[in-house]
Amino acid sequence: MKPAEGSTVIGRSVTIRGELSGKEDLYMDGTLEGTITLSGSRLTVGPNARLMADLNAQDVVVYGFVEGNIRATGRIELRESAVVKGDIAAERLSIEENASIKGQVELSEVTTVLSASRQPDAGLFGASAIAPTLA
Amino acid sequence: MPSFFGGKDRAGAGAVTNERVSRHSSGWGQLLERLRSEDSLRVLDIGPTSSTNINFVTALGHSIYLANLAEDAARREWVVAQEDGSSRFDVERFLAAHLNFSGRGFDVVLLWDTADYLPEELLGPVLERMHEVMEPGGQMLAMFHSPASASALGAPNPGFSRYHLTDTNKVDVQRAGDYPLLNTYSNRQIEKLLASFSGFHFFLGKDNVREVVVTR
Repeated sequence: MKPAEGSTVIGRSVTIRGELSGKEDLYMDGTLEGTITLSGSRLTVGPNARLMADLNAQDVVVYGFVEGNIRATGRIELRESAVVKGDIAAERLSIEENASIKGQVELSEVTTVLSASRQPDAGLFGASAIAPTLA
Repeated sequence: MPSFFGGKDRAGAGAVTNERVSRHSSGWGQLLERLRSEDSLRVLDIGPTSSTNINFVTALGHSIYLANLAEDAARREWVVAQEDGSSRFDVERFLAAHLNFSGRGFDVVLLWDTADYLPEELLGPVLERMHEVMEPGGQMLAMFHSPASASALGAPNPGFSRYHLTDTNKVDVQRAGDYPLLNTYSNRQIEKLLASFSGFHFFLGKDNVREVVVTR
């Protein structure tokens, strides 16, 4: 998959230990131990990423492996290759079939569920879902 | 008519599909009443991740915790070689790694049929840990295959499955992996395994799968 245009990209060969923070979108495909905090921005965890970290951002999209807690003020999307070992807290959550979570899920707001379009178990809270109070 | 694990359609061809098969579940029906009548319960769902279950439980105002013990237990890392050439399952290390819920207490546990996919030496300690992490009055739903249910589907492996909740006394069952069915237990064995619980409710399905709802 390609990172969104305009995102800061950290490639698969990069290893970071410590705290990563910022105010712009980040595509993280490397290895990180620590925390990632992005204020009002989107974090994409690439398919090659291995993060032993707590993640905080507005929106978080996961294709890779995360061991740590994920907190989003907006939406979390777990794509089918995602493996998350940790707690998840968000307003909205989208999970594709075969994505795996081990941990607690807390959604801060009730969402309206529409039928999944791609797969039987996909996208129930996600792109096709409408959260009436968010508009 | 499709059976519990879609066996009628698949037994002959040996094919594995992702289709969902609806199955009556009296045990789920019993827990559903509680989830509807009480607020802010904590639910532990043990099995392959189902976004349907996350949606269903959180929409009722409860929180949900997910774990897939059968998958975790199938890893070779837990099997320790002994000096005499035999091997054992490292139960203590497994419990510490996968059944440490950081002090959370659960009101409802959905064990589904995971028990039959765990090594026998691990099952007792897992059920004891379940008892420890449940709140007083908490309820657990467990399902157990029987030799009859297995043979009806072409023994020995009925197929590891993901269970999707519905708002009726039915669950949707979807094949989710190739983990082998490791054991089947008699009713007496099930009672002994769950001896620390009270309030047993046994239900026998048309497919000879036994459901048990126990209370802590």
